[in-house]
Amino acid sequence: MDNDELKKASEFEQEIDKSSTLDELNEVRIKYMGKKGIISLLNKVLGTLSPEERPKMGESIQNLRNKFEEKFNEKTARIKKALKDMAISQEYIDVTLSPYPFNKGSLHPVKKIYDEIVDVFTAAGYMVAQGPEIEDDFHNFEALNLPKSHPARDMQDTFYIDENNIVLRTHTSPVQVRVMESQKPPIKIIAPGAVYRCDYDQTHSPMFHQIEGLVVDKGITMADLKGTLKLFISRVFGDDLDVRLRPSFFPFTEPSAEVDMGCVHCRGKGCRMCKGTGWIEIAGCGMVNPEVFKHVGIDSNIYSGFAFGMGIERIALLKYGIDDIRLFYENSLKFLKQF
Amino acid sequence: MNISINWLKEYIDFQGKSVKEISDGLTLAGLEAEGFTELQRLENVVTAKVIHKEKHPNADKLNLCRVTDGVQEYQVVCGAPNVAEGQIVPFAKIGAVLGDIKIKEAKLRGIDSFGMICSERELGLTDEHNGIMVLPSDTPLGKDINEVVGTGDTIVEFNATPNRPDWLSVIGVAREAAAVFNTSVKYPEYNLVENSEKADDYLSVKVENIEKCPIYFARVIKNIKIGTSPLWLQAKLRAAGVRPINNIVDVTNYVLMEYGQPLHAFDIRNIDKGIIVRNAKDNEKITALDGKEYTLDSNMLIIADNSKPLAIAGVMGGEYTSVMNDTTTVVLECAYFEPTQVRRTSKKLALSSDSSYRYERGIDYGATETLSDYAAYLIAKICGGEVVGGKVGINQCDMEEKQVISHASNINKLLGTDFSINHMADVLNNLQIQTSIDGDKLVSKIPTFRNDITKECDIAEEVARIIGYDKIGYTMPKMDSEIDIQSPKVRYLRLARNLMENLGYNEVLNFSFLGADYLSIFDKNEDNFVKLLNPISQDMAWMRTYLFPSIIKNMQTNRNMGYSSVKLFELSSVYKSLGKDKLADERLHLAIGVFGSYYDETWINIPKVDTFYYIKGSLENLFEKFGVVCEYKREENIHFLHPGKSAGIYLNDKNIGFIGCLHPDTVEELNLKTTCYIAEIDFTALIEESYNINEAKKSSMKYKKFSRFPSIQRDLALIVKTKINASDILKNIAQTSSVITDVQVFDVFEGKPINLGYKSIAVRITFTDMEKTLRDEDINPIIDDILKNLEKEFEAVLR
Repeated sequence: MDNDELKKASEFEQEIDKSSTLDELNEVRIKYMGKKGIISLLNKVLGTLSPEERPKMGESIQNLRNKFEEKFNEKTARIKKALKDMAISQEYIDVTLSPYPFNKGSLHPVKKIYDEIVDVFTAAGYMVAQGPEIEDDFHNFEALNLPKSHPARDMQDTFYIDENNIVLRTHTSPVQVRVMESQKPPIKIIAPGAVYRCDYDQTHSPMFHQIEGLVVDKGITMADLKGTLKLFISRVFGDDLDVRLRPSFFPFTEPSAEVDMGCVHCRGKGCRMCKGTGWIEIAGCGMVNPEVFKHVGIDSNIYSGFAFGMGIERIALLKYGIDDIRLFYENSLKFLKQF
Repeated sequence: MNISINWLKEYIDFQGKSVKEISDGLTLAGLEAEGFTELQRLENVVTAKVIHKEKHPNADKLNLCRVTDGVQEYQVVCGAPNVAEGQIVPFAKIGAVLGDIKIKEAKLRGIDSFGMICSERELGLTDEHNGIMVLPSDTPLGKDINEVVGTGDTIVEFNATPNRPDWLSVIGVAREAAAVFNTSVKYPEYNLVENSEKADDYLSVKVENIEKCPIYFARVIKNIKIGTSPLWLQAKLRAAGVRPINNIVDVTNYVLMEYGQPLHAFDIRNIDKGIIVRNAKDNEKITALDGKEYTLDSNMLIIADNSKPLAIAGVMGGEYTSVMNDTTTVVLECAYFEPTQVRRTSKKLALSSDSSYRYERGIDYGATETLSDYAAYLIAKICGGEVVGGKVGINQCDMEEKQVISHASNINKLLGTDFSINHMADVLNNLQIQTSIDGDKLVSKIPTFRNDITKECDIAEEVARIIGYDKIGYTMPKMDSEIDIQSPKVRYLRLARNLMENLGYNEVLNFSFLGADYLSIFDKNEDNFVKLLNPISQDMAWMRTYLFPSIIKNMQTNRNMGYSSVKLFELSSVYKSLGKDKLADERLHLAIGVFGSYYDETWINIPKVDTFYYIKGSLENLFEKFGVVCEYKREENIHFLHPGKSAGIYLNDKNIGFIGCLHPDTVEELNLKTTCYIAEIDFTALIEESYNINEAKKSSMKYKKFSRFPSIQRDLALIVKTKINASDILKNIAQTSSVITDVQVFDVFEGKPINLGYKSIAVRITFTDMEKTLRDEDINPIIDDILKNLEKEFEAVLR
């Protein structure tokens, strides 16, 4: 066998080098390694050789094959990599385009504040209690020490369902009564919900929401009430606001107080919002009146308790700087989507 | 109650405290100062007399006057129609400042004017501006106007709480101030002189209902002269917000404002023999001082004579017996009427007055009898005349001061304080609650003007509010209560609302009441509704039985504001009447309303499907979170829903709501312009079921074994009649064999080449076996069964 043939067979190297596509490369493979390829045909020559020459020649052919495979694989990988790089470099999206339009919803601002306050109190171990909005006179008034013909009933303009007995609850306080009727102390509840009063203007809504709190146990004091309200206000409005209790009157508490906090707008310095006083009224509270305990069969010689109630819309108005309560019930998306 | 600080200072020495210090002190004791009106102090304004008046030569409506302040004469041009020679008037000299007006030397139509004659409005007293203010003819000239008309004062509007009727008088406020500022009250002094006649000879008084009228006294004052009141009296009444009328009425109002004791003066000429305090007869009529006729009933108390009603007891006098300009003898009523009696009458007649306001809260009955003397003295002093000897009437009130015993230790325990018992006693004594100490006990005598104090906690409040609520510390309740996790209901509500928010809905909150006409469009059963007796307006009169009618309104609002796509939800209560005199059935509902495209405007090509499926997807998402499975059944009979595009929602075979497109007729009736989709579910039913399921799972949920072998899927395209429900086909397929683990519809097609009235439904069936990898031989017979069943049940054929 002459070296020409071997030499010719080893020309694949240049051809592989010259190939620039996978197709060309494949042609080179067929030309050399195919059934009738140049390298494959060398095997036929092998038979014609003497037994002495054969192993050496065999080895040369095998080397050639190995070299081909190596060279071929390497070139194939190179071309594939180049192709992939090219493809990647051409793949492109505009990342600044608007995304898939998953809708953005919103929660009602009053409900958001409502949730926030409920969370503050449940985290402090209060249970959430609820009661009917269409209430009877006993729970809404009588049991709260507001007998019929009591002038204090004028403090709340009531919606009546029946002449005498059924009303839309004017406050969440009847829930206090219902809880104390069914549960013995210790009691630690909040009662959030809708309440109704016959009044409608920029600062009064005929329906609004309140959160009522009630704690009854042995040895509950007015100082406990102050501490609780201070905690609440710092959680909802921030630590820097003062809290002040101002004597007032509610038939179901004695002593009673209005709760003022430092103005959220001027942080207590005095501004138009707080009429220059630096204080904003935020809740009513007091120590549960023994008359109320009497109605629900709790012994006021053993137990004492405090109660507080606040308007959620009012807190939302203050917190978001809204000046018209009616906005809450207009349900315009221009308003709702801000929350 | 409007309180003039100058008036208050007549009883209390505030030692130079500012108005702000006074009002802050009272506010922090519970008498809240809600507003301030400053009556500017006026400089260079004096009393003067008009000594000459003539027409202005160059102007029809102006007069040229000369006035004197007793020292000097001034020429002044005056435009008031009522100016006349001889009048005493307030005269603003050059340099005076009246509000925005600065008085300067001026030339009016060519005539020099050196000052201004003032109206009440120009002095800042009232809104009266029809003419100049004319002062009484005995007013001295050249006097500082502030002293004459009461300017240079601050009127504080105090908010007296309903438990403190004593704060509805200047004396009452003074008493409170004395306790707050640790000083004492100077009460007005008087000296009643009576003539030798006997009031008994003028009239008799008979009280038929002593329970409702325990104190009634009539005094007779004769030879009085009706006229205008002195300026100091008028000024005080104006400060208290009362319009001066004539000297008699003004004195009664003065005592009302000063002491809180209502009084009434009758002209004796119109009283037939004597006074009878009795219940009215049904349908008895009286024309009150407001000129209106009132029809009385037998539960109302009246003051009558032998032939007619004279007054509605404690509420208002009658027009007929009122004091006239020629009245010379008056009968002065000073009485105590039982509070609920007055309140009931006032409510029933829808008639209230300064008197009824005080009576129904409770006046100081301990002072009534003496105030009858004080008032008679004032009338004689101010209106001339003489007081006839004695008073006619009764006092059947228990005048003994009630005793309340409290314990200092209990008070401190309630307040969380450690105030000393001596401190407590001092506070109470300053409040004129006479208190002595007996060991730990405080023994208090409650004065008749403090009927709000009946028990220990009332004493605690008095102590706390005067010492100051700010002296109470901040602590937290110490109690053995476990930290409560959110109750399930609260958790479910929160979960649902957050989910709806994340699905892109905007939460709305609506009033629980709507108009009857509007609600009746949706719920035709009037008995379902809870109705308000006194709604604010007719469109807020009935309690809603569904939420979606409100949401439809919200969608309209937003459409009118320019939104073309709206997705709203509300989770609130609805109310169903259970009959008269009963509480209602209140349940929570969740409602959804959508109109316009479900997704916001986008460049991405999102295949559009009927909005129904978006809402259904939202609900399914919710149901899945709640762990419940609901079924949807075609619903053709809800009148406000489109019969072809609506479904009832069923939980355990019980209807819990609906979903659908509004009926075109309803859209038209509501003038909606565009159709919308609504859904509403009984959320209470949902959480009850979910709660039960989850509770059950807590104890019995076990993991389900799953197959390790691959699943095989086969697709079938079926042709069925259009109205065959996909869910029925799926159910049918699923029950064919236990190795079928899932069936889904992946394509629905109507139109050519499918015949009209038919549709093509393509389903993908998943087969899984626990034991082996399934082969065609295993599945083919099942497919045959499926097709056989479908043909039998639905006349379905393979496409």
